[in-house]
Parts: sequence; C-alpha cells; structure tokens
Amino acid sequence: MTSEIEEFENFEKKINGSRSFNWTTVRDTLRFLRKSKFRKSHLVSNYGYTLVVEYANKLDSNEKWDTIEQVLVASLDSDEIDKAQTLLDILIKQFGQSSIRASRLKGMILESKGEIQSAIEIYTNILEKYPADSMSMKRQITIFTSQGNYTKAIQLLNQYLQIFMVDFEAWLELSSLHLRLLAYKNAQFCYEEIILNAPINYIFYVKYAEITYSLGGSDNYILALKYFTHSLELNPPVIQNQDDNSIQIPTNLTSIYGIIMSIFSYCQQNAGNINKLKDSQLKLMEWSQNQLTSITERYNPTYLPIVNSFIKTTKINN
Amino acid sequence: MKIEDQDIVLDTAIRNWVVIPILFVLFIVSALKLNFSRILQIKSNKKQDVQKLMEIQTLTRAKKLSQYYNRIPLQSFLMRKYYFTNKETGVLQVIEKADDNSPMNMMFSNSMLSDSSGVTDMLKGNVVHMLPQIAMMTWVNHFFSGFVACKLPFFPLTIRFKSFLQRGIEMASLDVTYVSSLSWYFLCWFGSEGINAIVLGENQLTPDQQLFQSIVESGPGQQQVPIHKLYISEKENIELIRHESIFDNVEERFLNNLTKNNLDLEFNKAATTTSTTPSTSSTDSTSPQSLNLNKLAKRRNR
Repeated sequence: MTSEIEEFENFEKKINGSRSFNWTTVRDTLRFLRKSKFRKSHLVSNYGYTLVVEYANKLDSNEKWDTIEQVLVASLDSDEIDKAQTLLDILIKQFGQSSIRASRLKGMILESKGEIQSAIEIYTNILEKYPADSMSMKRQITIFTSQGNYTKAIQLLNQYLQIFMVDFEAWLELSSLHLRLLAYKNAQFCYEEIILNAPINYIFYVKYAEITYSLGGSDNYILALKYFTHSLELNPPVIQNQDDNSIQIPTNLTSIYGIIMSIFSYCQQNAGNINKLKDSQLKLMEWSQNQLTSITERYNPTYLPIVNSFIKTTKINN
Repeated sequence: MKIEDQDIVLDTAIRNWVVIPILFVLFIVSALKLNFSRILQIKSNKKQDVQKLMEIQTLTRAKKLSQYYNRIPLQSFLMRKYYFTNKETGVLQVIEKADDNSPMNMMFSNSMLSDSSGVTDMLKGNVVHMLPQIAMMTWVNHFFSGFVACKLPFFPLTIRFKSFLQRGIEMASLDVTYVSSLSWYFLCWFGSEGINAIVLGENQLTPDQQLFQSIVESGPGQQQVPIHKLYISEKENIELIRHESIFDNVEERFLNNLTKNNLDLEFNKAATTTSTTPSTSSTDSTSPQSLNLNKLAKRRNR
C-alpha cells in the first residue's frame, strides 16, 4: 500500500514540477490512477481535461475513451458539470446514443445537476435492457441513499445482493445503511458475510465486534471480546527493539479499548461477578490495561490522567 | 534420364492464374470471416444471463462458507446452512428437485442449466470457420488439381513431407520441393493467420488468446459439469461440516503467542549480547512475572 502512495506522490511531484504541460506524464498519471483506484478528482479533472481536449489524437485509440470517461467522472466529482457535458458530447459522437456506458455517464451528469427523476429513468431503461448491469443498479442505490430514503435503498441493495452475493463491498454498504437505521442485528449479518469473503482483514473483525457489543447482552459481550482479540491476533503488536528494553506496540488501539469495555460490560451485566470469566480473559484484561497505559505514556502523555481514570472506572475486581 | 536431375519448367500461367489467386482469395475470405465473426460475437455478448450469473455467485458463496465457516459464530453458521441446504427452500436444493433422476429429465435440465447460449455460440463460430474452409477446398480441388503449382525455394525436404506438399499428385519420382495447388492452399492458410492478425485488426485476438478468454469467462467448469452437480456436491460439503470455531480459546492463544514472542525476543537479545550475565537475569525476570500473573488470576478466581 505504502508503495502505491509513494508512487502517486512521485507522479504528483512530476506534474507539479514541470513548467509546461507534459502530456506523457499526465497520461501516465491518469493510467496509474485508473489502476490504483485512488480518488484524486481535482487533479484528474484539471490536467486530464487539457489532455483529452488538446492532446486527444496523441492518445492511443483504446486508451482515449477510457481516459475521457475517467476525466468525466472526476470533473463531476469536483463540480465542473460543463466540462463533463463537453466530454459526454465527444463520447456520444463516437459511440452513439445507444451505448450503455455513455448513457450511464449521462445519468450521472443529470444526477449532479439535480435532475434525479430523469437520471433514475435512464438507469431503469438500461436495466430493462440489461438486467445484470451492476453499475446502474449501484447508481440507483446511491441516489436513494443520498436522498435519505434508506429503506428504499436497502430494498434495492437486497435485490442487487440476490444476484451479486459475493460482492462484499455491497455488503459493506448494506451494513452501513442498516447501522444508520440502528438495525444492529442485520448489520451483524452483513458483516458475517463480509468476514466470509475477506477472512484475513482484521478491520472487519473489529467492526463486527463493535456491532456485537452494541447489541448488548452477556453472550454478545463475550463474543465481541473474542472478535476483538482475534483482530489483534491478525494484526499482531509490532515489537520494537529500542536500546535495552523491547516494547510491544499494538497497532490497533480500538481493539484494546474494546477488550476492556467488553469485559467490563460483561461484569456489569452479571452484577460484578467475575467468577464466570476464564483465567485467560482476566489476563487479557490486565494486559490490555497495561498496554493502554504504556501506549498513552509513550505517544500522548497529556491524556494520561483521562486514560487512568478510564481504567479506574472500568476496574472489575473491586 | 531421371526426372530429378532436371528442373521442371512451370508455366507462368500457373503462377498468374493459380498461385496468386489462391493467395488472394484466401486473404479476402479470412478478412470477411474475421469481420463476420466479430459481428456475431458482439451480438452474442449483448445478452447477459442473470440466472447464470446468480448460479455462479451462489456457488462461490457456498464455497466461501464451507471454507471459512469457523470464523463466524455457530448460530450464524446454522442460519446459513439452513439457507443453503434445507429440504424445502434451500438454495442449493431447488435444482436437485428439477431432475427426477430419469435420463430424459437429466438431459433436459442439463441443456437448460448448462448454458445453451454457449453451445450455440460455439456452433456459430464453427460454422463461420468451417463453411468457407470446405467451400474453398472444393474450389481448389475441383479446378486446380492434377498439376504442380510451384516449387519451394532454398531448402531440400525429406520424403516424409511428400504427402503433405504434394496432395493430389501421386508421383513417386517427383522431388519434394514441388508443391501441388491443394497443398499450396493449406500452406497459405496456416501461414497467413499471423499476417492477417497484423493486417486486418490491430487488437484482434489470436485464436490462442480467444480460447484463453473464453475459458476465463465461462467460470468454474461451466461447460463440462452441469451446474446442478456442483450444487449437490457443494450442498454435501456444507452438510458435512462439524462447526468448530477458531474463537473457542482465542484469548489463551493470543496471550501464549505474546509471551512466546517476548521470550523469543529475550532469547535473541541474549544471543546477541556478548556478556552472559545480564541476559540470564532478564530471562529469569520474565518467567516469575508470568508465574505471578498466573497466581493472581487463580486467586481472583477463587
């Protein structure tokens, strides 16, 4: 990941550094951005527009249309509808009105102009002809989400997931919609699906644990604790060897807070009774508290009193 | 006088009216063929089959479940198991019901489920490729058979190539480098493919790539194995799972790993430092600590 970021910074430096417009650099940058899926709309719409308008015939004929599409979307992202309209005209001239890709872009322009109804019409027309066009389906869902019509969006997203049930980004979207409606149970289901699809990404475990914790109940607290722990297992503390003493730096503070809170809440639920907890869980609690203090001492000593009082309030063996 | 000793003089009319026309017609036909198949391809690509997409996705999801079931709680796993495999409405069950194991039904469901569009696509492609081939071969065979069309320059060939290069001329004593018209046609046909690819379309796929692409697109074993068989095997996989969670003693495992790492680190440090006394003291200091922790926890438990 870091290497991609560095690569992008190199490109950015090159573009900003050159005095005149260097079309090859811009082309390479746009190519890189298409591949890496970074969202740098301002840069793309600024430089890319000049590229596709003034240097269009220098581009490879296949790449040209992809680039135009990319610049169009980016200029919509940075609120330059006129530019987008010009580019759409170019695309329609090339591919005709019947092209789905072009008409989808037209729909997006209409969306950003605020003509939601006609945009929806365009997408519905596309879907009538091509019922498996996932992009148009996603556009419709985003329209409803942005209007705040979550129930409708959820309904559509469910339809979408009926077909594309291994698209875990769609599951993510669905769970975030459910979370907005405070439907934790449904969100939990979505995250289970996500974990099945991406079983080694620790962030999803953290999120799942948080949702489970929010559901409440002593079983769920223990479950949350387990998922928090597993996220730490997947993303283990980095061991730094400094001078004489080695320190373990956990990379995920959320999980540490989560562990403390889950155990604390569990004990609260059971009227301060810690007998049911396993040895390992108590040890884990102690470990997390130590970690929390040591991390705060190292990186943010001004917060130490707050953290200490947090630890004191969440003490379980009093 | 033996025939090999002297060169056969070929009529220039043969060059003008046989060799060059064959080459020319072959080029035209392959150009037409490419464009025609391109049109067919566009047409066949246009329709998207939601049903097929769904089937593949369902299969992938079921596979994921049977692979990573131990990462979700028992309750959730059972829920999904029910969703996939219950007797009445299970997703993987539906198709099994459709074929009642009678061969007629099997065939019917096979042709229904395994995509019929793929078969017709293949048929179309074959027709496009084979028909002109047959037509051209009969044309060449009918008009230009029975004489030598040209002579290959440069290198002598072994006798084995005789049947390949002199199709239609049965003459044992003729040198191998003389080529009959039908063989000339074959030579041009095989040889021209690469040139056609360059001349006719810049990004036209070569047959190899096309084959590759069609395999990638068709998904897991689409053509060979009918999807309901995959469904059944996947269903059995899920039914056979005895759920065991990786979370059963995740806390202990995590702590154990931590202490192990710590000890490793201490050990490494001990190995790197030249003086032995401080390192022993440090390893000693860790173990009592963990012992203390143990005792503490036990005391609390009581």
